Amino acid sequence: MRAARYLAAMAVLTAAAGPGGAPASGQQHEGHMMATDSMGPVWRMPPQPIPMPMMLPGLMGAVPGVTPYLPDPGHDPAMLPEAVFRGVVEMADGDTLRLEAGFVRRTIGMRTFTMYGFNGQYPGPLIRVPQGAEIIVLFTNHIDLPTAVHWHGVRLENEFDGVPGVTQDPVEPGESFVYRVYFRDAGLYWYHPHHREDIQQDLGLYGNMLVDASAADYYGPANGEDFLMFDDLLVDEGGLFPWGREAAVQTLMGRFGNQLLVNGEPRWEATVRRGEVRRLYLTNVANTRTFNLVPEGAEMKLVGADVSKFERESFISNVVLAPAQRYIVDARFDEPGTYALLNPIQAIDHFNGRFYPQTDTLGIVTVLDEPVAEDHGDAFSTLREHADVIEDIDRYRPEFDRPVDHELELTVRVGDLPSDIVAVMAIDTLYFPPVEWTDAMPMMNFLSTSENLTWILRDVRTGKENRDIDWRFAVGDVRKIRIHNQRRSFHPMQHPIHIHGQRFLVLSKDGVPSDNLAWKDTVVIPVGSTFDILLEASNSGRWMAHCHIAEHLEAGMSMVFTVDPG
Amino acid sequence: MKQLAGVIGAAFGFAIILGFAITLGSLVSGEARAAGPSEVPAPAGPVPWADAASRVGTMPRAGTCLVTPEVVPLSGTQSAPGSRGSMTLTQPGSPFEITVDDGGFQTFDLEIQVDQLRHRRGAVYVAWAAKPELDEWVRLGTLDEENRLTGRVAWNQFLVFVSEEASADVERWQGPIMLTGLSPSGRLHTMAGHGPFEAMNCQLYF
Repeated sequence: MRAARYLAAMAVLTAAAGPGGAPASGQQHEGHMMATDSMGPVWRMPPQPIPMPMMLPGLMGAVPGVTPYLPDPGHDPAMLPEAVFRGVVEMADGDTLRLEAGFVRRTIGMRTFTMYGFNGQYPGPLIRVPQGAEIIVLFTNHIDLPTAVHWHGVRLENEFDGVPGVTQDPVEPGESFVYRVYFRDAGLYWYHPHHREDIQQDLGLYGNMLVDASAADYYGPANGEDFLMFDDLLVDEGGLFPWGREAAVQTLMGRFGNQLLVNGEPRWEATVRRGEVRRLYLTNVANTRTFNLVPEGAEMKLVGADVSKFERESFISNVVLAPAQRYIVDARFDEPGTYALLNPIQAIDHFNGRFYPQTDTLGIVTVLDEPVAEDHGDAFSTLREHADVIEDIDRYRPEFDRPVDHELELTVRVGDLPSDIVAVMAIDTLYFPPVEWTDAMPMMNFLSTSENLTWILRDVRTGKENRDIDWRFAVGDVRKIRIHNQRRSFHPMQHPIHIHGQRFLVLSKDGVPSDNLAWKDTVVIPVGSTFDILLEASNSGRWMAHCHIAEHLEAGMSMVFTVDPG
Repeated sequence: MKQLAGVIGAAFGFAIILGFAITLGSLVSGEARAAGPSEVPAPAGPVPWADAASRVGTMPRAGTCLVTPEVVPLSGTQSAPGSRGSMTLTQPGSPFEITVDDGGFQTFDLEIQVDQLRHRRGAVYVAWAAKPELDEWVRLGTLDEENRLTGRVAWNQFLVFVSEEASADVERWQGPIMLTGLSPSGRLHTMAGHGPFEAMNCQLYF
């Protein structure tokens, strides 16, 4: 039955896309200038976070050895449709969604840019489905680059995972692909391209998916929900700062933006009643930036992570959200007033050798004096224990003490980076904090590309790296994987490691066992740390595992493993 | 012109060193202006590296042991020449895998182990941590009979020092400073020098 629906959808989509249904490829429009990006695709020095020398003396005027790229619709960008704020698409088992990646005109603050959008929206449509549902997605590519859609965290059939080169061919401009997406687990997920995502995701191709559990009391009571997708965009006086066409640039630290965004807007705004409990669904869709979220005026309770709830709820003061990660948090606003959602970090000033505080305001919440009609204060102050999660994890506890099955080391190899940079980095990176919150060395980052720098997943036991690694499991296998982020390398940095198609538990960090588990699909490994994770191989096929810093992925940091049918 | 720039640079460098030395001197003599002790929460659970504290120079290497806690030396001051010890830093657990507080400061569990220190009869040895600017400091606690101490610090850069006191009840150091150490972030070099650690011998920490 499902196969029949799938075939029918394929036929509909093929007819609908037709010839000329998409703009021509970017290759045909090289040389066009962006009306909204006044300087066009021209390399210039990247914006600097604080006053410091723009470039080492020997490197003044140096630019990456790849062609600068900006999205090119092939006609006057002013004629593009203005993107609209995302809608919610409630879907049932068997429903079909038409999803199109295309050009949009985006106004961010006072500026207008040519960007991408799913269905003309920012972010893409919020897909809401019941647990156990399967939907058909008729996807068509109307942008100027090949693409594909990855359903992040969803344990679906392998052929629909949306990874060009592993599970499918890229969807060329004007072409279509039909995805069949099965939602096995309740929770918060997101979709995004998995082909040059350093460009496409950054330009707005992302959206959330919420899978509702069948149990009405799966979560505690709340008065409302907010879906917040955190991102950043790199702009200067010339408009969008270009990406690399043939290869990714800024591969050393990833592309940090200087315009922080929540749901594609510079600021999230909400108004709530006094005593209201809001359920916050948080997703980091930035290329490389990790956020430290602090909502003023609210108590917060951590409820869930990527693929499940935690065993126990816990009160928290901040949420650290690495790229691709999701958390579900309940926030209660007790006192009337106006409060900020902040991102306070300690940035590094390498020029002066010091940390300095940097706080961005991501949102404003107005708490009215009027009390909420239905007060969930008592339920909020009670920390629930999730018996369903504990019972599920109990089946795996006997495996917690098993020997390590596989070990991965995270490191980097330098190619032909300019020797001045290599020399300076050797002095300037003798110390690295566990996390880089900003681009502290933009001029060095600027010149690194996926051609002169390789980020590495190394199998410690075999010495194999990245795509040469060939792990093989069978459905039902449970394996302990140790991941170590090597601090003694050219440029150590945190890595959010995402494993496709499966779920895992974070058993320990630096030898300290986790005391409150949740199923995850992405774990961030700070510099110098070692994590043990327990992988449940539950889904057959060839799957990717990789760093979710988009530029690190482009610079090689990925591997493929196979799960054979049990 | 170059000579003038050199003179100005040297004078600036000297001023930094002098300023640092004066501040450090007042710290040692107990005259630093301090904002007072902050709360130091006890570490949650046992410190994982209590039995694995390595000495500098024998840092575990990938391939033999993938887990690499930060271990930095504590060095004797002029008041306690020849004294030495170490400070082992680990990051506490967190549901977010990265452990920072709501100010964005990295949180560290630390274990101080003093290996060599000539004890004065009746004296107690108290460990402290201070921010590089010395405008904030915390009392970490008193070394136990095995010259060990565990604590938690939520700063990115900090000094650790051990003072010799007549009583364990001191709210701030009064006796001489016996050992000092610097958080690993002291390795944070700059294009302009060593920043607030201009006067420190950074080679000590490599």
